[in-house]
Amino acid sequence: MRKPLKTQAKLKELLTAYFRRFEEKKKPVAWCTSVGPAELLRSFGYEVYFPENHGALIGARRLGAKYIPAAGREGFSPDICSYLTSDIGAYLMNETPLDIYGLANVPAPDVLVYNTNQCREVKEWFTFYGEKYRVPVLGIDTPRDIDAPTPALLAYLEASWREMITRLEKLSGRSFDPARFEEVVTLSHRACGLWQEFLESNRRRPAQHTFFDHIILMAPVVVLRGTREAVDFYSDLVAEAAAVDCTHIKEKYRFYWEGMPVWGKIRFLAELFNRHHISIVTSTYCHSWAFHFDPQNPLASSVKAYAGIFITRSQEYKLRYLEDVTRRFSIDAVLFHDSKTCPSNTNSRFGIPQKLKTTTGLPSLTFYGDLVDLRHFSEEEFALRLEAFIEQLD
Amino acid sequence: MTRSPGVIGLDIGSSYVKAVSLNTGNGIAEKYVQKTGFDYTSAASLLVERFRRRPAALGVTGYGKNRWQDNNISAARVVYKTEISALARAMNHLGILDGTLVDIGGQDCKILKIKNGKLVEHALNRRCAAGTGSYLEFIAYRMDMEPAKMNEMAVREKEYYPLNSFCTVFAGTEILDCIKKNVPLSRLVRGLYVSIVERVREIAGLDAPVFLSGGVIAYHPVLLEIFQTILGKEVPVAVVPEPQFLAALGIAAYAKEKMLAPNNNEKGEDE
Repeated sequence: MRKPLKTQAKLKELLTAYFRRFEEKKKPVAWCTSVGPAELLRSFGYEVYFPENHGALIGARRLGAKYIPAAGREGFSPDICSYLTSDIGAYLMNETPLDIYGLANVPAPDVLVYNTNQCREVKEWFTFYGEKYRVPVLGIDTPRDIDAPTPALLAYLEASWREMITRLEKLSGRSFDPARFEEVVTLSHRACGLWQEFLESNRRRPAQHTFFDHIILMAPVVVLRGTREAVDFYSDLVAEAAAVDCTHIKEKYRFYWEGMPVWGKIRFLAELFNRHHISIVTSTYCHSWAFHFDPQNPLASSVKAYAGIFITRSQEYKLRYLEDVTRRFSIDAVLFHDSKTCPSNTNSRFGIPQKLKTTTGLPSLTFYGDLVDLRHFSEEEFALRLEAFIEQLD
Repeated sequence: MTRSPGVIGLDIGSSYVKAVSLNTGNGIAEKYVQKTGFDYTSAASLLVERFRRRPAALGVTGYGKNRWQDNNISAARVVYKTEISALARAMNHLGILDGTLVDIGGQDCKILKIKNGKLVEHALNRRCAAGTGSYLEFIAYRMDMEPAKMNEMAVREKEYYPLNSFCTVFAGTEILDCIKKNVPLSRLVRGLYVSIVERVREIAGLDAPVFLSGGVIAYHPVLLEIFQTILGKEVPVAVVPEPQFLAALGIAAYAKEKMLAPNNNEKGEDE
């Protein structure tokens, strides 16, 4: 089995420092969706907190089944996003897995900012907290299922961003600082570029690292993009990855992961694939934070970057994307995660696996699970399906 | 007539354990089946004991295959494969080189597409037991009826009442509700079988010719007629010989191949 990269050891310290800053209460707090306008919020001096990260942590700690029913009693169906239901359930039960970073509670927000580029659920989620904390909820309502962001769409979205800037000026009592925004976007651009460079390094055979490393290592590009710390972390990571020797790794097949992680089963899945000598080389999910900003045009490029993420795109675009990425990484087969509570990021329900097989010849395995709610995932069933799939590949 | 078991194929399913031994002509010499219960190991070991001689080589497949081991047999003589591979191998063994196999078991339904003797694609039911043996068992329990009686009733009935519930438990409730509304029981029972065929058809397309296997077909042979009616005359449907033992036969064929492999130094007893 591959050894974890040494840089990974710095994560705990980095994330602890990030969460502790909320306790210091030196800055106002903005809650932001994971692919929301984090750079803008940082430029206004907010400390930025991401509830989806909290949901993922609940998932990784296997606390979903404990918290989700509490949200159900509040009227949130267990069929909707389990990040949402587990996070709201934890709030209602007054608990948080952030205790591992020394926090007794999640940081209270001064403002909540969403972007529906990923799904509409985030709007409902933030609206719930807006009512509970009695703070404003701001949002960018991005249309979905777009082939490519058109000039008209970008103009509409840029107007939404400008409107948000005006509201943030009023709320924060500060004027928008274009120079500071440019600085933050530049830092994000660098962190995202390094993250992409790290992911692309896995085009080598055998893979130097796997999806199960990536979903741990991606934390800074999600919660700390726009900071110097994220840039430094990924600089170290890229340098280390370039020097790692994995020639001893037996790699029988290279798989691609499409869809959400199963946060509570990282170890089980990593060990299972390792036993079968399969490298999960890369994923759509982890590539989703490899944004391309233009520091010369920070606002226009932010609007475009956040409008153009994979999840907002049409089925035709997604198919073309998967054709390209699977070729680039010399993929042998694709795993599609049919995530029970995340239809927005489940891409096996409109025939893409079949179309991908027609255009590329790549076989795929669709499995049933969930990002947080482990009641939808069976280890035994997954292992059997995988084994049968591998026997067919053999 | 005394036949050496020589090679045994063991299919440890979620509901039943099935086992066969091969005769000299590679057909089934002996076959046994029993309920799995909660202890896969005991159920399987008891079944192996029923063969007249110790197995020279053993193939193990089915849901419980990874839980079973027999310390009396050297690892070199045991082969483990999934049911998908075992079923595909059995079709080859039977000389069926093209077509679609539908295997309906206790808690899953598998569809295998075979072309020129090779498995080219397989599909399984979603994470739901509707349309499998467990579904029928549950409904039989709710209606307090033996499987044979259900089959007999459906054979005699030509009309059916469509059942729409995805959920096994709610299908039971739906049936009870229909009984209250005086829908004839026989139409409901036939509707139950039709719903199983419709669930299967949702999983994948069924290219002709279609073959049926698994315990559900063995105990509910009316499904053949219903499959044929729904798929139409242009898609011939047939039940494989000994449908409940198909995976056991396939894994026995694998075990024999392993035993006879040139690099295997532990050749079994002569057949």
